[in-house]
Amino acid sequence: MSNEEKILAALERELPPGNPAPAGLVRDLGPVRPGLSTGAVLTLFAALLSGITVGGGYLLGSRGMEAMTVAQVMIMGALGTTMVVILGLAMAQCLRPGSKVRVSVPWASALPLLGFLAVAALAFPWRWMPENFAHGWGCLKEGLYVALGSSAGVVWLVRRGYVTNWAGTAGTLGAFCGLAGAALLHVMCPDQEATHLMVWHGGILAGGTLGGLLAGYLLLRKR
Amino acid sequence: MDDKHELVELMTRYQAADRAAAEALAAKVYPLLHRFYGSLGDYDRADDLAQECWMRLHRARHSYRQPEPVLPWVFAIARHTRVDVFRRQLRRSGREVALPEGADFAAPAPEAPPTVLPLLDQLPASQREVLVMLKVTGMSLEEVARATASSVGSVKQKAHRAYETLRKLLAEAK
Repeated sequence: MSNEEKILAALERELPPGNPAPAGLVRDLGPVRPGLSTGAVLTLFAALLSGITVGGGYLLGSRGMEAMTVAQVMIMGALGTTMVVILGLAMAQCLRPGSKVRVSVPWASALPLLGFLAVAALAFPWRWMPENFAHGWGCLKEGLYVALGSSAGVVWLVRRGYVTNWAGTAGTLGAFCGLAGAALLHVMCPDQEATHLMVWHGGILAGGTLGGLLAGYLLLRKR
Repeated sequence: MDDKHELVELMTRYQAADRAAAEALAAKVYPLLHRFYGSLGDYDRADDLAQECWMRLHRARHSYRQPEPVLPWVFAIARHTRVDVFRRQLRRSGREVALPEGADFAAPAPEAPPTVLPLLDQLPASQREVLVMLKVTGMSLEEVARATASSVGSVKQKAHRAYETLRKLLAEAK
């Protein structure tokens, strides 16, 4: 018998026996609908982001799309799709205890911002002008309103699962809402310049994620 | 039908409000929960924790999805329950932990035979938890990884370190 087996045998011998279930443990039974599947969460996220971007762009104008090249549109589309998949997987993981770990939840919350900053820096021109920079406050405000509005659409998701990691869940939701705000703004805003995008549009992603983390922290403190 | 498939079957029927299935599931899961909490050093409170956990499992039963394994779902909530209860108690009692009356601080008598269980308390919480899940509940590495929201590699590493530490502690105790 190896040392490890000896330890395990001793452990098995010494562990306290488990008490049987007390009487009356099962009460108030009612049928429940199983939680959302990973596919359903992904579809919901994709539908929400497409709805907000396309619907918002249709209603509020799409001057940002007109200012971008085809390559930039494709790069931003690919980034948005990738982020939706990552955030959807992280969200599905957060809502179902004991589910398979497919993505790291903290990384999933941070990736939209990091990805956006990298793409804005590499795929968009640098033409910094002080007046453009100052006009960014309006962008940030509008984007944060959209992020806040979209949070109403995703908060009910939390009720369809059981959250064991409030900070991770709220951070993921915040990042998704920030992504929605930044995506709509990207379609609307004609100022497609790297500094403006990184500071003001990236600020929406940062604000959304930090807002989500703060909400998670406050919820956690309440428990 | 093996144990894991039986648990999935019981859980699915529990979600559909089948009382017999709920009682059968409680009969299978509750002793495991009790043993889990008892093995983690919460000997006196194991019953309270197991009941609190069962209440949470009941409220969270909609978050389970067939055919996922049941035990990782149960133990993910069990870990969370333990942390929550501990945090709540810490908030209530400030940052001080009251010692039991007449607590004995003397070192154990040298002639006392070394046992493994008290040594478990000396392991870091994450290693102890992994070891107990693997050995008390008979969960696989993959299932423990799911329950602790980590990777199989990380579980293997923690279990290996726990064995190493236990081996050293046992050698020192002899």
